[in-house]
Amino acid sequence: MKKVIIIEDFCIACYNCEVACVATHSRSEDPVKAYKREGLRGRSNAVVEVESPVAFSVMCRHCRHPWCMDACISGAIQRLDNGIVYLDEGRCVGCWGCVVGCPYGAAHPNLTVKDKHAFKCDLCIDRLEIGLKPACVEACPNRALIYDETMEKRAEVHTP
Amino acid sequence: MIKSEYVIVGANVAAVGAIDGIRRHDTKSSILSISYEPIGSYSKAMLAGYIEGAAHQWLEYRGKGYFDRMGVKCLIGRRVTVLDIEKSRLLLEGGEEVCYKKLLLAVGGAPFKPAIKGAENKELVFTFTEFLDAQKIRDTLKKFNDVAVIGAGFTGTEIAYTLNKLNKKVTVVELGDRALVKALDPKSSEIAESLMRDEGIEFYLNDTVEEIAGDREITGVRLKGGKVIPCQAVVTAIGVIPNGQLISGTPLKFDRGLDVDEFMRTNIPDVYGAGDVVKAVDITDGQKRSLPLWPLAYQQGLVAGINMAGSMYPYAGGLPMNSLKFLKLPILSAGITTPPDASYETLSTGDPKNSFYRSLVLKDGRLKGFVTIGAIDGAGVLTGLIRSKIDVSGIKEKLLYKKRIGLMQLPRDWRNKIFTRRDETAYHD
Repeated sequence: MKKVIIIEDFCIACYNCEVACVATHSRSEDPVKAYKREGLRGRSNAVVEVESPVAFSVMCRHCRHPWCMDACISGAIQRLDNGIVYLDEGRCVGCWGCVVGCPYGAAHPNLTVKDKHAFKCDLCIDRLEIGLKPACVEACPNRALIYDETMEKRAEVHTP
Repeated sequence: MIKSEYVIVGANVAAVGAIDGIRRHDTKSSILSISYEPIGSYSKAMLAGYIEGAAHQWLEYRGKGYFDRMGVKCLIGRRVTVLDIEKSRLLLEGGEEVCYKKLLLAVGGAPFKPAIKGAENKELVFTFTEFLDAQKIRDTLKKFNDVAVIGAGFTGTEIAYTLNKLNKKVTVVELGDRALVKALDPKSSEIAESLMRDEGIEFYLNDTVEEIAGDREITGVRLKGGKVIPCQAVVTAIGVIPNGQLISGTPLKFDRGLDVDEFMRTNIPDVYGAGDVVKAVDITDGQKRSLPLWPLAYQQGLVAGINMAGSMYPYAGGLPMNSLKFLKLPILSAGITTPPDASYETLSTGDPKNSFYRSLVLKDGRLKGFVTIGAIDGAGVLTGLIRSKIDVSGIKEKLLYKKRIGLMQLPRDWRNKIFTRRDETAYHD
């Protein structure tokens, strides 16, 4: 299965992935409107971590056996036939089981609104369906995020 | 007579895990799930929402079509009365016979009911573990205003909080000296308790209910300490113990839990166990015990299912995890939160207003457990560190003080495996 591969040596901490993620998951699909009007600050599914000079962006690894799914009491998190670990925000009851279960910290709690729920990367399932790459990958200027088969099938990808 | 290759007694999360597991390797054979409960498969962890007024369909865990999609037949509202191991069959209420080739006992837990004087023959004495309990509470909500909850564990505090939200006057009586003793350390118990007191819930600690007073209708509870609390209803929520009802009288090994090995097999060939009924390995100390927790029930079910379908796939062991979802401030914990002896190291920090608190428990440089309140994003990284058993002595300060814990603090090699490999989690069978 193709996933977003993270190559930390290439990350320049530009945060374009976060902006692209917020924009593509917003109603307006416009980054400025998404942040200013839709209140989506902090709602990126990809999170950039920086401790200069090291930086990288982390999003859901779409595990074959997701810890988050085990912990999900409402059935909001399911693994789709195409391998995507999908969180249906409408069914999420905000129990934070996925937040405490995910070893990569890739399931996030939305604590800011009244209707509390978790959110996580959906691998841009809507974009994939029309032949596009995930938004974060497309936005990454230095190929620190690539959408491809993982290392086992792609030995030529450079990582230390 | 009904015949099925796989028979699962139970239909909730452990059963769903098992169905997922079986179907990974065997897409053809027949699976039958039997449950005495009237609504089939549902999420027990969401029952509080049902009491608050949600429709029972809302409790459906995998959606209506799940069993059909997975090719599973269900007998809903049917109770298994006899387990006949010798003949590999079950008898249902009414005498019908069900034959199996492989059997999974996912019969769950039963509420532990202490012998309290005056508890018998009263309508408004409840437990809170399954749908019928929740239904009973919901249907009688109008009949009481004051309620005593016995037990301040997870179930007790959740039902207390729920009833309080529904404008009942709630008093919690707990034998121990603090609330949520299993899930939290003393300081976080104090914070959780004060959050609940702020909502109007009263606590009586170091005390217990000796008598439920009243003839048919409850008038109050009398505590050991002498105090009498007027109330019209009582919820006992002392804990859940493995349900051995069907198992007693069979050659299955059961001692405070159905004994299973790492493949979730019982001592009888072709009979497996998963969920709240079993006693399985707790990874924090390697001991077998009953850990009636949602994610573990799913994982055990999955492992049992995979193995029932012919594999030999080991259970990674259970890690206790808790999320107090109902409180105003989110509280998450995992592993050992209160060190049992002095060989453990405890670190804690917080702000004076108690809007943030975190404690870590370490042993020999390895993370064994944590509590985090207020700042919870990334808390799963700590859970992952407990599971991976890597030395965190060099990064413990950062794990303690950084509000959002990320992967930056972890060893680079470890992190890069996750970034570039297919899968680093357990159960990638």
